[in-house]
Amino acid sequence: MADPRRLKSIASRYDLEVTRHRDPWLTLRSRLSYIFALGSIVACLPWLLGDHRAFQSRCVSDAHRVFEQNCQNCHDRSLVPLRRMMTFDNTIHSTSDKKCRVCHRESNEDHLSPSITGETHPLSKWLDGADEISDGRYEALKQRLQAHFSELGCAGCHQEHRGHLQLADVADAHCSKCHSTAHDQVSPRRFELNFSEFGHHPEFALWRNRDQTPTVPAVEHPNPPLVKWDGVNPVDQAAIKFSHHRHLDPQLPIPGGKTVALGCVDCHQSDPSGAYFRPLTFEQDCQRCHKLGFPSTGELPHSKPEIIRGILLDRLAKHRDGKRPAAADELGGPTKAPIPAIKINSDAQPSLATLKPELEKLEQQLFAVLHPKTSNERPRVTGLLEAACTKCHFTERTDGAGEAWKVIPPRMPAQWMSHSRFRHDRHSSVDCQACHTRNGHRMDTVPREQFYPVLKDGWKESVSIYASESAQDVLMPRIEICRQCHGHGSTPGSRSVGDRCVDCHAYHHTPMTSESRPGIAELLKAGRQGRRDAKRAEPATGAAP
Amino acid sequence: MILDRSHYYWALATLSMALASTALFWIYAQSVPNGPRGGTWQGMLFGVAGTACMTYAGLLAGRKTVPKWRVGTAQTWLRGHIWMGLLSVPLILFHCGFRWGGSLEQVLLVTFAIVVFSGIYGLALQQVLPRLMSTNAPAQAIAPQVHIACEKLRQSIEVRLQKVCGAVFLDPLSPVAVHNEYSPERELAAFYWEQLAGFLESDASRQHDLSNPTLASARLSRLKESVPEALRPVVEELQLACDERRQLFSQMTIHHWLHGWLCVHVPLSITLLVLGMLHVIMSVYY
Repeated sequence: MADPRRLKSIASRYDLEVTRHRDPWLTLRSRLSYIFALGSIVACLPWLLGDHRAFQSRCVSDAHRVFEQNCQNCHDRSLVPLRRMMTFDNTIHSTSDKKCRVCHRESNEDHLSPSITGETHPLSKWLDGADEISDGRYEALKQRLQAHFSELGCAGCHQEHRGHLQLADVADAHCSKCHSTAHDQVSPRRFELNFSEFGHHPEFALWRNRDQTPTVPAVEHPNPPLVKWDGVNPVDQAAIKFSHHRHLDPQLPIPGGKTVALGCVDCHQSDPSGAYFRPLTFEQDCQRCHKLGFPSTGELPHSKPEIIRGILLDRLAKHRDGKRPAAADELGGPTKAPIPAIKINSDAQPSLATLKPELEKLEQQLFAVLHPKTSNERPRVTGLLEAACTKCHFTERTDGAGEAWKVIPPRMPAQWMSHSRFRHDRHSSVDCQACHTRNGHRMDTVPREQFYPVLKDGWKESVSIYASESAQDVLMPRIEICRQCHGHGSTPGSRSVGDRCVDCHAYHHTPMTSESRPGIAELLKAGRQGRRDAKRAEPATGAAP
Repeated sequence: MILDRSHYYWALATLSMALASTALFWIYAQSVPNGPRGGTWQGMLFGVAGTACMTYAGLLAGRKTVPKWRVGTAQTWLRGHIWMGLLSVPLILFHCGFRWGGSLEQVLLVTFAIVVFSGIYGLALQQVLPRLMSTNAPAQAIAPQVHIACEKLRQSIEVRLQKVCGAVFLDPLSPVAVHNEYSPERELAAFYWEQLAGFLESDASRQHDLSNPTLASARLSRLKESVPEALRPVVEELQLACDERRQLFSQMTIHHWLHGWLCVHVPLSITLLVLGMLHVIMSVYY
């Protein structure tokens, strides 16, 4: 059928005044557009006028949440992002170090700060050892790095607005930027500087043998004084005698005829931070079973030889007139024969000369007589006062007037692997023996009982700490033990096992002391005081002509 | 706008730029610690490029308000609107580093997503619905004047019927008329007033019986059978009027689909531009 519309004129179907008929959809669209535009501006007004939190790219770290309402609390340089874009330079930050240090007053100690490149810092010899670097590259490198860190600033590594992550949670790329390339620039090489992730991390310096890693001479590392290589393994240079095997006996005899099964934590008790262990002390960790002294000397304090000499002299002088009572043995051990009386003229005061033979005899007993090497069998505890200094220490005779003997300092480090940091409390789910073995390799699974009562020849080569009879064994783990759990990839903020640089290494080496870090409360208090002073000053200013 | 061969170079250019920016983003993402962010100079450059694309796309509305300006044809602007708008998607994602960001950024991203998806949805509709309208509603009218077209249609039918039926047309259902003998004119007029008049109204319901083509055809066929030969062309005209009204119904339905999405797309685009400007100002200042 033909379309009749063709036969109709346009005028018969439509109103020719088209503009009188606006499309309702168009009208609706326009009105909605105006409403939405105005609505968005009105909705943003509270943000613009006061609370800037909505404009954050992401929320700040938890510690900085108190400042986040006003951008200017931290961003003291305006239009910096624009400058960053125009100059193609990401090291320009809108937050200056000065703003950070309003609260963080501790010094910004980094690898190269002059105050840290002193005697204590591991890099000090490297940086100040200009005599070892003849081509003058040292100074250039130092200046370049100092300029780099200065330019980098706090915000260079501690990037804010990354959510609830801690600012100290710095990405590996900040470290590997230099550490993955600097090996060609630094000579002589003191550290491994050609790795960028934990998977490529070299063996811990403690375990690096010169023969195995000739490019990184382990002997020049700050740690080696603690150990020396016997050709195969490092030997702990601590001047102390101690047998973990003996003390971890599940039936360790203790005074009183009883036995006890000591664990690691019975002696190695965590420090208040939980990260490491408090230093071992004689009084807390040894004295309960090993009282220093003999019945002939009485119990002596764990002190310097000259103090011991003074105590001995004092005791000798007090009992110059007759028999001295034998020191009481709390455990009822065999009573020693009383010390023969020293025949001294009672009218005269005893002089050092008269007491010296007896004194030397006692000192000889304490400092010179070596304890007989114990047999393989379990020791029998007969009495408490059976321990000389030489039970644990190495001694040497001196020619000094005040002291005849000297105890060689044990040189036990407060912290092994001083370039790293480790939190033992976060590894509490793992047995100590799983990481601490005799040669740093993975532990064998021989049960503890197999090593006792006598360490059989077959077990002497075991890596287990129960087979460690000497303090010369280095009981620190190799990196392979860490890699059993770490190094499988993790990202900031993830719950996977961390393997990033900052998980083990510190950049700011200076500890935060209460003096260097006043705390927010003090700052707020100072701020309030300042406002009060300003208010007081206002009327005075107003009254002035 | 129909996507045809004329879009070839636009699509090619957009794809090339998207691939190039992806390569740049990959290099950039490898080079920055903590991953890509909008605050780095690379991120900001992506942001500037994305904002430029969005602004160009948004200027289409401004271009329509000044059709006399010689700044490119409407077709070119619309093509640019489509392809630059699409290109802004990867650029903005590269700018934000595939992260949601803060509150304002989240609002911006959600708005952006709605705008983009509504635009793609509208573009898809425009590939189908105009052809569907041409097929289903050849008698389509100017959309804002559909009610006028209905009114004119009804008037033309009434004029025609009055001419044919005479005085009985005006009051065919009065008791006097019903009492009289059967007359085909009265039958015709009664059909009109009882059924067709309501259907031809501009505000007629879509549930009307005559909206159903089968039912309408059956009733009109019966009417055609009941009137003499001379009146049958008139019945055919009534049938054509029914068809036309039904087509106008279809046209309005399709028109709603074709333009309804713009009520989401346009206001949210305005919102996006306003909030985007706010984001730019605050980000550049701090």
